[in-house]
Amino acid sequence: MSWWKLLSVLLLTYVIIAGFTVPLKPGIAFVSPQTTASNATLQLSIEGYNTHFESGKQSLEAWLKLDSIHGVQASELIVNNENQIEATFPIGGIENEFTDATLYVNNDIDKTAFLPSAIRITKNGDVSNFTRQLIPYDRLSSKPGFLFPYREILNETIRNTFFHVALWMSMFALLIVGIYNGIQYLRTNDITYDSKASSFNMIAIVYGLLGLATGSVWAKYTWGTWWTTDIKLNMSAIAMLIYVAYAILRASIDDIDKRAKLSSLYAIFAFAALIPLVLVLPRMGNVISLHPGNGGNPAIGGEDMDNTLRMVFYPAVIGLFLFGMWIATIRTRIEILYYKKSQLE
Amino acid sequence: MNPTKQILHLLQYQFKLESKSPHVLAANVLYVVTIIFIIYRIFNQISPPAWVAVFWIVFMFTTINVTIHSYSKEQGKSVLFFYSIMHPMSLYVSRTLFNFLVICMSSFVVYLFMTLFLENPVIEQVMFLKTVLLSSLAVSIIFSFTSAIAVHTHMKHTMMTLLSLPLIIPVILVAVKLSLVAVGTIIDDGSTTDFNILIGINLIMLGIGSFLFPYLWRS
Repeated sequence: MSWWKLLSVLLLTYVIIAGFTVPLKPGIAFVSPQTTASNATLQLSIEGYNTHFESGKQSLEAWLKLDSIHGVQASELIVNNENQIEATFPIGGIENEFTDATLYVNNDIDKTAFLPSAIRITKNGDVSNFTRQLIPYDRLSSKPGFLFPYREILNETIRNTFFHVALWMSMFALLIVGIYNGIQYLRTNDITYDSKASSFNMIAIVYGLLGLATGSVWAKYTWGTWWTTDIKLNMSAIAMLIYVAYAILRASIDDIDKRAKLSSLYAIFAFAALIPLVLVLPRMGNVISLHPGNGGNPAIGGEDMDNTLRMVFYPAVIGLFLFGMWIATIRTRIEILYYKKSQLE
Repeated sequence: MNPTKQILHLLQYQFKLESKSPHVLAANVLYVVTIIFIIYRIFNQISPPAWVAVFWIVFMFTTINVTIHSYSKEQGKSVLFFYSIMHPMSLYVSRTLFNFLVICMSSFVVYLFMTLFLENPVIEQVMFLKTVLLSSLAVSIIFSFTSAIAVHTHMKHTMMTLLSLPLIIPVILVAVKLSLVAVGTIIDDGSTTDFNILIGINLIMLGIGSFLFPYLWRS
């Protein structure tokens, strides 16, 4: 048994266990109300997620950030239970027409849970009434340990990164291997290359369909719909249509050499046709994409992908790719056996 | 024979072949007229975006019909003869040119009958003409390749439709956008870029098609 097959199984087992069991960091799910005016006392009801407000009552503090370094501290905190507190903020004057204040809730057990742009404060009355203090950034810190970050909107669905995104990435890797083998077939006319090409393309199609399915389920819970007119969705749908046509083309030809030649040619031609699609679709009207990675939505780039996520995400990509390669080699061997059988008859 | 001469010769041959069976052309015209007449009877009058949609859908299916006809005829001994003396490149280019001319004619027929029955909402005629010409070229480049694949399979017509439709989606999308600008439904925001994209698609597909066609040929 090859080492990489074992590795793929180990990696995928690790991804499934870690991906589903590692808890999220404490976060703030919801605040109410979401708008207020300045120069008023704000009664804010805060809903936490994975938090320990009750247990960490002694060190509990809440801050609303008004500018880059200043904020206002909650004068009174009523803890209802582990995940719910009522905070009172005496908000003074603000200079701008409105300020989108970030909310920090800090205690010793959870460390800092925060919600960006939690509440919109609109200007009302006197500006000079400054009640703000310096935010004690040295006390604020993220909870240490092996935990996934908490992000509003995404919540627990952040775990889909390890499955949905990893499936697409390994799908593209497998497709490139498939195209490479198709080109090799046209150069050498060696039928084993065609078996490889078709096997890699087929497993890539399966991965693509799984990627669509995982994305669709995720969209249902995050956007509230199974399918939208999003660019990335439509592009992947067209790519899938092309590769399903490829699969049907292979199924409709009996002669092995003919099938190998025609399907490799179509695969290469279709792959080239996908290139203009990348140019065309962003210009089709709805440029604003809801998909993570577009328009400020969280994705795998930049600070949205923290090191804990990476420690599961990269193994997921490698594991899925190796697993796909394993299935593709098995399918290749079956294809070659069929070919030999047909030659004997 | 030099390539240009080969291409012209093949084109002449294809037109001769086509002129022997004028009923094919008549059948296609009938097909177009029937579809448009049905749409006319259902809606009587349609909005410009719907006009554009109908135009491109009828365009798509008419072109598939026309192309597959011109191909399936060429199966036989005369083909083998051509293959042995002509360069595959000139075969592909002549095919594409022939398809291009036929597709242009059929889109003109579609345009004519849609104007007759459903009025004509096109404001910028030159822009619409350019769009139709460029997308006809792109579609004929793609169809010439896919139909050469499809004729080797059992179910030619179905395979032809199946293989071509996903590939021409990008072309049709750009064409629809440009036509919507031409009928005044959406504001022109960089149609030059869109035309460049269409030209780019033409060049990419022609390049990869003429590179791969010789391989298709040796079977």
